[in-house]
Amino acid sequence: MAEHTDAVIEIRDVSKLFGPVAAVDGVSFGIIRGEFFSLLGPSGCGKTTLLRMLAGFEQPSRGEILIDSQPMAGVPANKRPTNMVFQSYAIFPHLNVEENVGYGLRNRKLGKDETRSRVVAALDLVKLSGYGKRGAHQLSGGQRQRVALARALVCRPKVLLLDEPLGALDKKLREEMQLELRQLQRNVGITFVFVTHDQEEALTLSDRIAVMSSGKVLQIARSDDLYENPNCREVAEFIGNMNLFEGKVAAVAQGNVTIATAAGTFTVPHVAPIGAGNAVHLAIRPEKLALSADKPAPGLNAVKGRVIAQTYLGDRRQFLTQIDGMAKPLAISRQISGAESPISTDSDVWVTWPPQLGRLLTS
Amino acid sequence: MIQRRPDWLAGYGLLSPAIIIMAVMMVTPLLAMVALSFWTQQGFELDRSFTLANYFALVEPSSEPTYWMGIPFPLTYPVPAILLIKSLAMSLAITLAVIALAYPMAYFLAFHVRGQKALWLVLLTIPFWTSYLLRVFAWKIMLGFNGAINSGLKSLGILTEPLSFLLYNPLAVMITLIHAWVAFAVLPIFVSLDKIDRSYLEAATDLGDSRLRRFLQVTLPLSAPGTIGAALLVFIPTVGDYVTPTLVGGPSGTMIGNLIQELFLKQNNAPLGAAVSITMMVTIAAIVTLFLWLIGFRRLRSRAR
Amino acid sequence: MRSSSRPFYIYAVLFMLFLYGPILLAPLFSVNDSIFATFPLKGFTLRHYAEMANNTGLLKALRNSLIVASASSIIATAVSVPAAIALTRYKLRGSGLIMTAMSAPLVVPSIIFGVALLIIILRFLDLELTLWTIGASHVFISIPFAMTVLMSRLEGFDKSLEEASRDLGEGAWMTFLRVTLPLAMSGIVSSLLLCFVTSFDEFVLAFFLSGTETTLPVYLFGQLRFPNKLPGMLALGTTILMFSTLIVILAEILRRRGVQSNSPGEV
Repeated sequence: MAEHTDAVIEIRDVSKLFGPVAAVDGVSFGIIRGEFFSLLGPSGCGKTTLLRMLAGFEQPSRGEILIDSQPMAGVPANKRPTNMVFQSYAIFPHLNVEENVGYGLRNRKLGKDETRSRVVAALDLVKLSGYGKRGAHQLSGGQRQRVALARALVCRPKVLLLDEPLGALDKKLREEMQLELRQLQRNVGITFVFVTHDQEEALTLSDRIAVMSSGKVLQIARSDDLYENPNCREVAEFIGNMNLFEGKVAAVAQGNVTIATAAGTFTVPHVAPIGAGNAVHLAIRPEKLALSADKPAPGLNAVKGRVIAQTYLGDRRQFLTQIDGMAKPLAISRQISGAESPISTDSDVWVTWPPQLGRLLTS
Repeated sequence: MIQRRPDWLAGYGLLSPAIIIMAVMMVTPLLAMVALSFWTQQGFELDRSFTLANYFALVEPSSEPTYWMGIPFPLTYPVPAILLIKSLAMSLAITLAVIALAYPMAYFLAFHVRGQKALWLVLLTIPFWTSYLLRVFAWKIMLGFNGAINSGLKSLGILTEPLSFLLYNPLAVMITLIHAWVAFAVLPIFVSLDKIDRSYLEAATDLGDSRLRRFLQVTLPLSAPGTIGAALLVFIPTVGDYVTPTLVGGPSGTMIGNLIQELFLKQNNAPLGAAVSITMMVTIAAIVTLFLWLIGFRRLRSRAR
Repeated sequence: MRSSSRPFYIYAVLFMLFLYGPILLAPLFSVNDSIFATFPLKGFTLRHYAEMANNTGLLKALRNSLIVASASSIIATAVSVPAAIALTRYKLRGSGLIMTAMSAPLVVPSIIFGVALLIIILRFLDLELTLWTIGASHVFISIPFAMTVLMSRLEGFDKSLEEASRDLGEGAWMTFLRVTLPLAMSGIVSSLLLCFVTSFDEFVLAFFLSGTETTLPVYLFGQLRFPNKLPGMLALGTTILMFSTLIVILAEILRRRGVQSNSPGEV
């Protein structure tokens, strides 16, 4: 939980009930001024509902939301210092680009020239100069997205809310827009709250990510931290690929824990106090595992298995290795450099990893 | 749209003008009609003491039955009962004919028209919006003793004497009403056919169904809700129709609507007219409910989703 | 066209002949130079149309019809716009029941409403039958048509457009004026036109609820008893027919254009 002094948004124990169902369930955290913050989770996890509560389209059933230290209870969407980029972009079909971008400026008592120059500047910012007179239906998907961004940014919100804005674009355009979005956010310095179900997108764009599931926040962390140090099984499995060994704590010593699993006994670093006999998981990423035909050196965690499938992925090769005593095969990812010795399917192999690369998950 | 107050309050607020109009124009008059049916007309005065006499008059038995189509009606005042049965029977026949004519048209629109669906649909809708009175009157011109058919056939030398059996009978009423409703019935059937996912049909063919079998096993059941909806939209209003029998029915073609109109406007017996109206509505409602229950409409509808 | 389409196509053409054939008799005989609607045709004349201009009874009924249809279509549409917004934008308890009740005039035989209204006006409220009573009944039967057109228009556009307006700082009323109203405009005009035609062509309720002043269909019905007035009435009928058709086509074009511009937001 980030009890940061410069939190632009504070979410305090917020829940949202739809009938008996809690779409958002007792969530508390803060969002720091100027950061690119993502809400990541599968569809139905409550991330969009949380975003809509920030925007003012839904009211929390419990708890409170503060923006710039102001409580937002009872403040309608049109009075909040937030603006939103909608999933469908919601470009007004009866207005042209300029009128769309200038929509929010009309009741701000700005002079005509001021309004004009702000619209022009906003269009410039999203690289749409000269498109002002285009009709809404003459725009491509990427252009619509830029108009939606310009329309929100022109109001100079304290927080920009983005509801899966890249979901409707094809893969290549999406990657381009990710880069642009990140640069744009650095340039304008506005806090972005970005909702997505795409973990890669979240990892690429964000300063910090909140992973949500079933209405709860599982973990909030920087991208690299989230990948390297997931705090529970759900996060570990949602972000990238992860191999899991189920087992019990056998011994605790000097910041290391030895756990006994059906596939053998392994060592994993762990500093927090934990008692022997606790049910835990050992998590290890596929790219941290090594394969060899020879018996490994001592000091490494090692387990014997049989390669049952391998997939060529261009820059790397993925092996599936069946281990005695384990239901799921281990996934091992190996960079292709050209120097490694080939491993054939159905051969017996050793899977090894240095103990410090594994992670112990207690929940 | 509105956030400050509870949503439902604003929602009902926006609805209230329409609800008030519906209540004033529909609910109160119907309640007034129910009340009136329990009173009696005494000359020009209205006796407001509660009585079931109007309803009793409709079912009062008599030892000498009146016969209609060979069916005995052992009632002292058999006209309402006979006209109600007759109207229901005629409407049923009209409904069946309308569905039989409309279904192929809807099928054609849904499965055989590619580009100009909108044009066909507009062509089908136009007659519905144009004067009902004129459409009925057109048939009077068509079927009359000196009408278009008779004079046309005569001038072509096919007839020497005009056919007198065309107009002023139940058949003329039925043809006119079929014509009036058939285009309207196409629309709901078309909608339910158009909604059918084409992959169901391809799957049925792929699994070895012939075209006929596929139609009977897949298309027909999935279009049933629209077809039944269309049937009800035709059946219910036609039972109470009175413009058509007035213009083209003649004495033998009268329906229950004519009796209601007569009791109100000519015989000055509004309470009895009210009782007949209510009996008609209740009978229709009972028949429709029974029908929907028998065929398991809910199940059909949920299946077609 | 596939070969299997041919029988259906022939059927469809016959169907349209059956549908339009009898209706087109009125225009045909209205320009026939005879007082009888019989074959063979005698010759072309526009005399019956010219005579309409001198028929004071007819002109009065026409004026009444125009007043009733204008007033009732405006009122029906005006109350239906907020109702359609409520039913498409809010989750309301009992909205299914309300919609069913509102569509009752489409299904229940209009003679029932005719006599029921007659009872309450004459026997309970002791009011006179005037154009007002006809107009009120026409508002009531037009509402289901207005609701159908307006609701499909309002459902047709992305609800986040209204949210976007709120998000950009506009309140409920300005959002309605700047977003909802312009987007629903084609539906509103189409609703006005269809309600106008509904009222203009309506006979049963007008017949029951007419006092000394009547509308055009009731006038027409009254004149049908006189055989010598037939050609004039055919001319009148034809005029009504063409007028209604024109309005319906206009309404359809507007409605469809509205549907097309619905969701350019989809990529």
